[in-house]
Amino acid sequence: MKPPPVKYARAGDVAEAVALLTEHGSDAKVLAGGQSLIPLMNFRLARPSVLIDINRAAGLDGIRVENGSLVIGAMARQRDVETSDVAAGAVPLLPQVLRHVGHVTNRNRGTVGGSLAHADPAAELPALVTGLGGELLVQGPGGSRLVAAEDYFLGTFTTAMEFDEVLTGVRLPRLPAGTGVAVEELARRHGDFAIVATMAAIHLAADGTVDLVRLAASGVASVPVRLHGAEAVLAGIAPTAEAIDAAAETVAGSIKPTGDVHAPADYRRDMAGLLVRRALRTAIQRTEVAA
Amino acid sequence: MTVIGERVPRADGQAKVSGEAVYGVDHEEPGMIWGALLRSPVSSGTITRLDTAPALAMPGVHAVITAADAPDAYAGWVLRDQRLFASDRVRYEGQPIAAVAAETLAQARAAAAAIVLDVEALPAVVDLEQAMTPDSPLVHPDWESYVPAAGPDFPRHGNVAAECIADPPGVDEAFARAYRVITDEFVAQRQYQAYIEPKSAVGIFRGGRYTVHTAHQFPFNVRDRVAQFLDVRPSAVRVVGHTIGGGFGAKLDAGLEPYAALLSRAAGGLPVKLVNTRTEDLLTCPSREGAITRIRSAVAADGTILARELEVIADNGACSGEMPWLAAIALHCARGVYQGGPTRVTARLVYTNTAPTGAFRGVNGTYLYHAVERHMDHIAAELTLDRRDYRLRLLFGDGEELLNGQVLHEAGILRQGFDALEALAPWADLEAGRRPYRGIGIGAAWWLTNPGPGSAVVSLREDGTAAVVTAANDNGSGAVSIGVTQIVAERLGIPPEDVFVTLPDTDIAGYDGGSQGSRTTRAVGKAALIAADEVVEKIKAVAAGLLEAAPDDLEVAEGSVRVKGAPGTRVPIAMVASTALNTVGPLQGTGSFVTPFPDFNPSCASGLLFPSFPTPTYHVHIAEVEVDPVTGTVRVLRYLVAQEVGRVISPDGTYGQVSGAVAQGIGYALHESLRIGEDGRYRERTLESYRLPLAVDIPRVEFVALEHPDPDGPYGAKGVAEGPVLLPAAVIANAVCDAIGRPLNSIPITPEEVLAAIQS
Repeated sequence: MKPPPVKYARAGDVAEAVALLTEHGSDAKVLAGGQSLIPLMNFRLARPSVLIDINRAAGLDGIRVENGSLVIGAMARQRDVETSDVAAGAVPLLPQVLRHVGHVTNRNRGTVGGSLAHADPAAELPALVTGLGGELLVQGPGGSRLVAAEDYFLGTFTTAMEFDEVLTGVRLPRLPAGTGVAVEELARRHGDFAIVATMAAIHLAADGTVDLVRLAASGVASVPVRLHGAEAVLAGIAPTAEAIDAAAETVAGSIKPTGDVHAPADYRRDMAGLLVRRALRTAIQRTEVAA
Repeated sequence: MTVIGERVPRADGQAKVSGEAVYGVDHEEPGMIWGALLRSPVSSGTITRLDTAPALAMPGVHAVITAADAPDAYAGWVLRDQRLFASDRVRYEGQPIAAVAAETLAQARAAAAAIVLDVEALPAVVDLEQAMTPDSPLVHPDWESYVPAAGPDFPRHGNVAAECIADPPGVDEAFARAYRVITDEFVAQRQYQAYIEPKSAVGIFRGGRYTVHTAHQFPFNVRDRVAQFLDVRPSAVRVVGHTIGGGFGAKLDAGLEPYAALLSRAAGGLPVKLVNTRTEDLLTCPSREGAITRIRSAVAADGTILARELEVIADNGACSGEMPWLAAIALHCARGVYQGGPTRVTARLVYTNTAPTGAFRGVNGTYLYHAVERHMDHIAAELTLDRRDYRLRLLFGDGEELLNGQVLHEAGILRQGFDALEALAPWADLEAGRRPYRGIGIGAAWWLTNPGPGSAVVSLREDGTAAVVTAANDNGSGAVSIGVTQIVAERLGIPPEDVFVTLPDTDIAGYDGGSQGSRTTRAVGKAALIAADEVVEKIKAVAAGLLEAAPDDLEVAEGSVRVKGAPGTRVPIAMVASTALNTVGPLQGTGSFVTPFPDFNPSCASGLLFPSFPTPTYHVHIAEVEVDPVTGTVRVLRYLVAQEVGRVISPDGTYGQVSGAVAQGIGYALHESLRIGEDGRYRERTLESYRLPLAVDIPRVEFVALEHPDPDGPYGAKGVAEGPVLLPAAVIANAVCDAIGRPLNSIPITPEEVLAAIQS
């Protein structure tokens, strides 16, 4: 299928993109890697009047560590992040999560910012940013602002960005050395959108108790969900099998899955608990206590 | 030289893999314009406003047609219950209401969208049980006025479009004295044929006749349907076939062809092309029907089946297509392949406000065998009998007489099938290998080879090659590009690559019954063999003069005619063909063939439209599965098939059909489903949400061909392609239930249902 007719404008930098958004109003859409937007247009599920292409906007593709955080430019290609030593060193969960995003060809083109701006509740990157307590860098006519992930994702395909704002990057707290991470995903086949995906990052203190735990899930509500309840169960105690079960049992109460053609809501709820349990077990196995 | 049973490359293979092949959907005609249909957005309703003026005013538009522009005719394969366009009532989502022809596809679709349509929605008849109640709205209030396409009327009433009932004596008495009565209810879903090539057609009205180009399984049926809809005699319609990108039964009845034909007429004779979008195709495809099957068996303590009742309620959708003809299949499958006492069979086909259902590989048999074989497992479990031993004890043998009086002379082949699989995978080993969440299933079936008529003309060319003119269609199976080709090559003693078979054209070739029911290799192969026999006789007569020998002393082989016993005395058949031009005329033969229906007892049932099963074949399948007890997903570990095939003409073609049918059957068992909402609309609307099985879901099929050459088939061939789709749902369901120790009687078996059953 072909998309409906659409006007095209290219922004040389973020300021120009903001100016174009201001000019064209809410019918305009920012074009990044186009891996979600273009198929949606082809299916006529999205009908923007203007596409504002930021692929040539300068300075948006950086991957660097800054003040203890990993800062990724919105236009960094997912594949570049997946294969970046800097990203893997700071947030080892990232490359693991990215391997579940579409296929390599999608990730060659798809951007980190594109996925976060699109805000599909089944997508993996929004869940990762939410789970790790990341912050989104947003620029509009009045300047830049930083939005916490849990304030940023408001609903399916809906974020806290105004129509005249552009996502310029994301900031993720660096995980301490020795953190164990894991991703568990149930999809009909590898590369499909997740029916449910969960991810865990866990760090143990020298006495074997949990001193950092981050848990998130996608495909379980209209927004990606950080599983605070499950985190609270584990914080400060030894991650025994009983503790993992207790944490996983809280999951059902902290998510609101809906049924669709891919899976009914109850099945998603059951699977979320199961996949959290699996992700925790694997992440704990992968922890390393600092020497 | 013999090519029968040899691995020969298929004639159309290179063109298909290189992209050279021109499929129907690619066909273009000079001066061609494009069409689009306006389809009903609702399942049931009354059209309150239909204004085509805005569409006519759109750029590039040549014509807009509605029911007012079509003949006041009803059409149908079996029952004439369809109109070309909805006029006042709409009966299913996707039903055509108007059609547009315009310069470009985009203009045609834009114009169709510009037609003003108001439909006042009415309650949709969806539930099969409710549809049969007296207070249900009628899908066709005028059902009594409908007439069959041919022959006498058949039992039908209200929302029941067809009914086949067998009520032999002794059933109730047997139930009264039964040791145990075992009861089951099974539910099966709709399945989309999901071929790669969506439906398309190019229509041309020229010289007072309609020509339709289409990639179709049954060109002569299209001819007849277009003629019915457009109210002309069949010979006023010419159907030209093209390379087909899959059909599986969905391209046996007319789809877009009558619309393309009438649009061309309205557009002053310009060729008009229609192509379905994938969503249009999925929503309106004559999918495999959903059905509810109930079985009750009266059994003795040793498992003897004293009597049985089987009731099927099948979803016809809004119009009938081929379906009334098929209702009697319940009678032929009611006992599966196992002996039992008198059996009461009630099969009803029910109208609903949903897309019309139709033929899909293994018509009706997939869910009937699922029900019968699940029920056999249930009986065995109740009586603590080994499932395989129990089946073997009741298995049909040679000379088995069926419920319709038909006699299966060679049903003993079934036991050979069980033995063949036993050699590959001993049941005791499979049982011993069981562990939690791993299960095995076994089942068996018999099936027909479609008996429909076919014909062929074989011409020997002056360079020693042969042309075969036939309206048979190769729907991708290789039945023509391998089967018919090899059979003619074998008979004429020339290489298969020297045999050229035409695409179908109803103006050129004789009648053909379509690529359905595994008939083409056998029926058209036989017609081509008869034609080739005639050519061989003529070759010998001409060569007798050249070789100064008696025709009876000659043999045709390896591209030559030679004297038997003196192989050095020979003449190339190319020289024979050239010589013949100036002596007896071009060398050509004709062949026609049809299989008679086996004898049956006409008083065994009412509504017996499909009275008996010609050219039976026999099938035994085993599946081994593993269930993930946490996610509920099912993995098929092993799949084994023993199948009677008459004789293998092409090992690759045979295995390909078995493997493909098992894949389709696994899809039916575990993945695929067209779910219908309460509003009568499908929930699955694209191939993203319609769950086809993937390569990783399908194991390599372990296959044993049981050869019992059919004396009436070409070189002994019987049908191959359809039978292997009958049993996967049955044996996989049996294996899953074995694995989890609980019954699951609906298909597809989804992970969530498996999980719920495990947790219950």
